[in-house]
Amino acid sequence: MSDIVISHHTLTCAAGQGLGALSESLNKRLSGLTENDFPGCDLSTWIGRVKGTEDIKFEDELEGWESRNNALALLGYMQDGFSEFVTSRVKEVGASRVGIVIGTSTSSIGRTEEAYRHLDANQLFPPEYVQKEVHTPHSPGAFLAKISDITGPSMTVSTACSSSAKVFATAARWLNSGLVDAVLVGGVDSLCLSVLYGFHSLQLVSSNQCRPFDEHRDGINLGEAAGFAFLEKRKGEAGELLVSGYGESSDAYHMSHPHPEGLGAEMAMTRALEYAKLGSGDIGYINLHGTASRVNDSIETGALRRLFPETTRVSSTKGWTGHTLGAAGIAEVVICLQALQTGLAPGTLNLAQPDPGLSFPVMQENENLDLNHVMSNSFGFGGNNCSTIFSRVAPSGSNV
Amino acid sequence: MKFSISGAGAIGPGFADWQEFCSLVDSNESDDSCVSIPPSPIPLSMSKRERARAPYLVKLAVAAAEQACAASGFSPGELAMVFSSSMSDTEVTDYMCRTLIENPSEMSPTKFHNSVHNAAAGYWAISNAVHKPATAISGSNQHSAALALVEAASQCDQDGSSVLLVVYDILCPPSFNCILDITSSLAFALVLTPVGRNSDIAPIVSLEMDANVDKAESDMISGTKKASGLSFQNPTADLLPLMQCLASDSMVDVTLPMSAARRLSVVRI
Repeated sequence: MSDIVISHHTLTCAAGQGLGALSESLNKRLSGLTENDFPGCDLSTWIGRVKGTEDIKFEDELEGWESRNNALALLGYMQDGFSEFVTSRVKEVGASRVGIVIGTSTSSIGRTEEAYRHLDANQLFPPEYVQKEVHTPHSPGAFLAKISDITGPSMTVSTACSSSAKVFATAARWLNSGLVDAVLVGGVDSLCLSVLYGFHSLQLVSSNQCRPFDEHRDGINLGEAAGFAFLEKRKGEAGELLVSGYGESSDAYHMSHPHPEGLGAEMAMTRALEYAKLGSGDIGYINLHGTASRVNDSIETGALRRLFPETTRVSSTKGWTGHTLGAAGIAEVVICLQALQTGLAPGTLNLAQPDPGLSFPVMQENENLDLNHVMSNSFGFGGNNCSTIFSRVAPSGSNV
Repeated sequence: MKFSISGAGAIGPGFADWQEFCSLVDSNESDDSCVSIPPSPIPLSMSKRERARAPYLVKLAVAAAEQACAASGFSPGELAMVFSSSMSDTEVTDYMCRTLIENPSEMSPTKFHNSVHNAAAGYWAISNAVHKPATAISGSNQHSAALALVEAASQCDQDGSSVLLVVYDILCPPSFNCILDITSSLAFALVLTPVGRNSDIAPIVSLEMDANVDKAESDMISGTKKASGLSFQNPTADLLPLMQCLASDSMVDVTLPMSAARRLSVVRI
């Protein structure tokens, strides 16, 4: 009986570059959010910006791949020995037998915005912006293929905020069907004017630090992140982490407002439990979508109430990272994986006064928990929902 | 992976639906005048108000989806969704980039939420009350078509789903021509079902897909496909050989590039 094993993973976000920095931020309750200083954006808000993205150079082989999104992807890929790990596994497995599935919502649109600012007299991109593999939705998938030397199928999933959760579902299908023997999955989304002004136009952005589930929450903060995981189909050994299940659904309600009764959210969580053959009582911790928007947070706890015992510990970690949109899936999955490995489940930052209207208790403080199975929720525009479940192989070698 | 095709849809220059596409394939004529007639899709499952506000790309994809779904005998609510586009909505990207220069605080919230790559899938699900999973994907121009088939087929194979697959790309605004020169908007749609699981309508054909074919050399010219005299410069046109076989009910033996080192073979069983 084979498992889908996560052989390696990494995350770079406002709360830190790599797992060590991330853990420190989570443990010390240090938010990565800062007051908006994104160039060209005069909105009064807080953002989850990854410093160091601007220092990445695109030289030699990487010439022509310039974009903030690709810079962040490269920065993230180099953390935690992930690049070296992939290189060695690809050599063993065979480059054409490894796949790539990356989630994104921004892709490299920041670079396209820049190209438009420099259009020539004929309204055309100047030569340095004529980057055929960058100004497309597939930019991150193409870039990862370039830097990893993987030659198997490479696909980008772009379903707004559920993108880099859904990559786990596609990867599991690819592995179980024998299409590939390993998959590099992940997500990369970067700050850009489109999302800053776009979410502002929808009146979804807070001018303060976001406060998920708080009585006085008043909107989201935008963030950026690059995270990756390497998945293989084999028997998981003691202590290893597995992809146990996924559940996907559509709200069929509205492009930018979730189903008022959380119908799609409930379906996604239910389907994930069914796939994993677990009961709701088996889930020790759930990392919620918890964006700090007025509507998401109340609707999400309503769905939790219908499915989970109140003993299930749940939190939102967007107070550390901001809402990283297409990378929210992978960011929060990695936080879940860290929780499984370390036993430390992060609480919810900036949650001073939980909204009395919430239907489910949400963790404020960090807690030490002995976790076997965890869940992560990601719900996106278009009513696109994905819940994923991860498990730790017990010391005896069995999945609890 | 094996699957049946239960229904098909097609919208492009010179054909507004699957029947017209079949006639064009049948006629075996090259009709250059077709290229100058851009498709005008009218997705009837969307409300009048939504149709007025929806982007062109959304209307194209949803209209093609309607055709395939209706032909399949399945109701929309029974089908998982795979929507695939190489360049996505370059019209709205053009709008956003220009608005950001001229007056960023006047960005239209509707246009912004319509800019997500999964907008077409979202509108389809909303208009037809579909709660099944939806995905919106992309690959490189050369590989997008194959990856779309793989995503749909693997959902059939692994999740046991019947799947609505829509592949589409639209004419880009002139500033984008340096990235990819698409000469006509085009959409193809298919309903894939696990073999043996049909609606009341018999499937068009059953197919077997082999994704373990190593690519020996670059033997496909992607983006510009000729079939029965039809020629379109559009990544979606990589599906033309397959769609032509389905339209003419002939032997299916099609190969598509899936990655730098892999090919996808699709044959009739």
